Amino acid sequence: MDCSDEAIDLRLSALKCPIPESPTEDVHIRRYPIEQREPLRRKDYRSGLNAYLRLLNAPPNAYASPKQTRNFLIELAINLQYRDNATRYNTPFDPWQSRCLPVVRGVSNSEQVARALEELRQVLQLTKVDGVSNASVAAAAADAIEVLTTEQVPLPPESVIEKMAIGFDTQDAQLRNVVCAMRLLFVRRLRSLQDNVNTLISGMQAITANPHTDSKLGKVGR
Amino acid sequence: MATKVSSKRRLKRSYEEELSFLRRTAPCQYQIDVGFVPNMRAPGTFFVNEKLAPLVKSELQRFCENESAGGFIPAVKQIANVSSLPGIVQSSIAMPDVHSGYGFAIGNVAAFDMNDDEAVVSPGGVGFDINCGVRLIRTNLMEEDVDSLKEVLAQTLFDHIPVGVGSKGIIPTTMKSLEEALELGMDWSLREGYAWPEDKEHCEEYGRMLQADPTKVSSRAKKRGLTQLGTLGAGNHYAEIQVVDEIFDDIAAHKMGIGKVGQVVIMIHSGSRGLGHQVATDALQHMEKAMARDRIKVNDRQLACARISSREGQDYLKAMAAAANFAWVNRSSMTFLARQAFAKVFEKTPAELDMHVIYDVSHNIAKVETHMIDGETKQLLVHRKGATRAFPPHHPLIPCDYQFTGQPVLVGGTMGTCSYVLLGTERGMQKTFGSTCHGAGRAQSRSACRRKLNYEEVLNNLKEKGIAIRVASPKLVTEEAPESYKDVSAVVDTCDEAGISKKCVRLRPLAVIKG
Amino acid sequence: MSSEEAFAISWKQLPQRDCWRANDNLAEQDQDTSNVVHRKFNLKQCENPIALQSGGWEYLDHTADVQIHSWGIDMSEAYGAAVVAMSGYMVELGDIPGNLQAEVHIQGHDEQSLLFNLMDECLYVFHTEQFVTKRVIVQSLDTFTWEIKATLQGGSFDSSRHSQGTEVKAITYSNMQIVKKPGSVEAFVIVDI
Repeated sequence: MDCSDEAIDLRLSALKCPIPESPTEDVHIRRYPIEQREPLRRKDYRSGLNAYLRLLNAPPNAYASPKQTRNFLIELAINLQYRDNATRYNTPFDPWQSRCLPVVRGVSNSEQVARALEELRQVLQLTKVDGVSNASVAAAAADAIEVLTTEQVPLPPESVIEKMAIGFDTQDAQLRNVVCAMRLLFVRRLRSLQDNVNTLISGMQAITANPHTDSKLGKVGR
Repeated sequence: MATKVSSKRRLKRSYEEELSFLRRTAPCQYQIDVGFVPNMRAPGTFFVNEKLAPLVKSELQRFCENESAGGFIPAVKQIANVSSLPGIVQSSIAMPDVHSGYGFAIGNVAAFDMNDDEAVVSPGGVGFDINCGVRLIRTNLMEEDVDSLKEVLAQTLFDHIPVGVGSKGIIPTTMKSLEEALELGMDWSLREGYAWPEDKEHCEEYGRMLQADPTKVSSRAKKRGLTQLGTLGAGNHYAEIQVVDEIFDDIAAHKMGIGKVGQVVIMIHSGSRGLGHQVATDALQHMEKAMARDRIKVNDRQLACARISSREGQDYLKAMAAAANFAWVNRSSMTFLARQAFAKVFEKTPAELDMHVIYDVSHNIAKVETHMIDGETKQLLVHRKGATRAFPPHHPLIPCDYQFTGQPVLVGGTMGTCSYVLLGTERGMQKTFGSTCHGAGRAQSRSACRRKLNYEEVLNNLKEKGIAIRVASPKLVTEEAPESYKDVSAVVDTCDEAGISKKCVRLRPLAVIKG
Repeated sequence: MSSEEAFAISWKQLPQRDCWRANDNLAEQDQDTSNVVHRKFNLKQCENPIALQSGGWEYLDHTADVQIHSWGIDMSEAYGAAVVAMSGYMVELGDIPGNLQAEVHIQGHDEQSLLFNLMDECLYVFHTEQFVTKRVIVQSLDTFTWEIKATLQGGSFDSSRHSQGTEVKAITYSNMQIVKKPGSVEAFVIVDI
């Protein structure tokens, strides 16, 4: 791909695109109605380009050079493209959906498992939550059992476990211990997930961050 | 057209007759029976202890006995009026710091069934200052480190954070970045580098409401907000340097990183400034028209509302979310400025000073939440005006660090009095849709304060307590004097007794910055 | 790629995005639903020193906010006094110079909304232009179309030089009353602090 300033200039003047494979105004940005895009197609597109950038609320540096204009337009095009597909990108990922046959203690029939879970739910008087299929619950249960039987769970001291809020009442000490263990495991996983998210965000900040203040804008102190 | 409130419509009951509708149902809990005002669809509930009950009742008494044209509707009447709105679930609830407000009382919580076509959303149930809230930042400094530097710190903070009437921000903002901030909330602050990733983790809603739509915010509101990014504002907003005075729950306090008495923290109380106020004003005007169209009748014109599913309702929720995002960006910006101020004075980086955000709560907002009603899960639109969300341990929406302790609730006292950190409880989840008080609530009117109190006296009182203070407006000092507010300790104790939240830490101020 | 090749590429042109169309309409929309007939706020120099606002006002007790009680011989005077009362709560009127003026044209659908919109506009220009209204000269007040045309006189607020009071966040309809008696009109408005 030829990215010299001259080539970029030519493409912009054609206004079809800064990059041949991805036409921006015609296909992605679409700021003007089709009939008003003519000024950007002409050879003397420069003046039309500035008005165009103004309508897009471009920051001052976008006007500085063709390369910076191109970068701004690409960024905007990507933004808009993302929004077009936002529902697809934002649909929560259910990791359990992909599991077809949850194996719980050797039982491979998911319908049997689903029925057993339903009975258990009624005995424990737990509320059925909308949007969660029995298959998901069965898969989650299978996962939990696997983890509990293989991962080492360092338990906090007895005194802390006694005071630990588990979210519901039970007199059964053994059940309580199991629940405590599961809560601890869950929170540990959550913490590691959160740490990964924070690392990702820091990585992004290394590129985008530019925090600054201008004390001439406002009045501080006296 | 909605009915206008006027003294002529008031039922001619005596004070004693009115009192008969208020029944104590538990040590700190009262019920307002159906019939207290017309059209009630559910009872009202309010939480007060013996100390606070007289204040609520005297407001009602003044209303009953006052015949003059200028007057206002007492809080108990307002709570009952809210109970007459379509779609209300269970009860209209009020916190111990309740006092009369616009349409809804301040300290009122009301939930509406999202699946009920008749259910409404009301900007009055959120308040003019959308997402007015409190943020608490810890440090690893102790009182001894800070004591001799109190005046310097107060001045430095005052020099970094713009405050006061007509104050303008020092964080460069263009209309484009404002629109982005409205849409992205704290994610904008993160992108620009004003916030740390951990700040987002420890913020209600993770600092961003996803349904925000900047196109639903009028250009008038945007113009008002443009120059105000990163400003404290005036009125009851403040930034305080506080110290841990007493710890009630060691484990939870340690989890928050403030497990030592004498540890220094910073509290910022601020909202969405002019932008939020304009969004609320605009919405109220649109909804007035919608009410006539959809034939919604309310007891009080100020209870302007619209069906949640209507265009006005949806537009308001999206604009409210954008204004909420603005407030989070605002608090994040001030966090940035406070970190800079401290770094300057102590010549260490904010990270070295462990200046992490403990939590950030909102006490003027409406949210869609899932709650358990009669054994069923329901989607409710919960309005909290002058009330803070207080979710219990193991609730999925609270941060990982607080899964075992419950959500921290930051309750700001007033200028010169104590503030508290509370924790959400399971009982609160059941009784008040996971809500608790937000602060002290006013006891005396502003004009009475301006008349009775002397600003120098108020300042001297504070100086005697060893509190350094920087204010932009002398008149505001008298209006905001501690004497004009209810006793925050009584409010917090009531919540504790009623079981809707638990005390965790009490904080004492060292320095105050006010608009 | 050569320039001929760049120009030779063709693809489908897609129509304007809804969001831009909405943006372009928003400016018009704001105009349509706004209660101010003339959007632009033009501040001009005031030739003569401005007189004091006629009528009177006081601030009444209200727990969290402030209730403005204003009065005058007629609606125009009472409304003008309410606006100046609001200004007086936010700043020290005596400090502010009286050298600027602007015209406003406000619309409402009844007497309350007219007062509300007038005060809201004055609050808005205070926040956006730092213009303090010290006097309202009502040119016309039409109680059929509920329109008011007025000249606002006042000056600029400079927070570094002028002392401040308390910021008014918004006007409310809370217990708003306009009481008409023979020879006088009173207005009660609660403003949110």
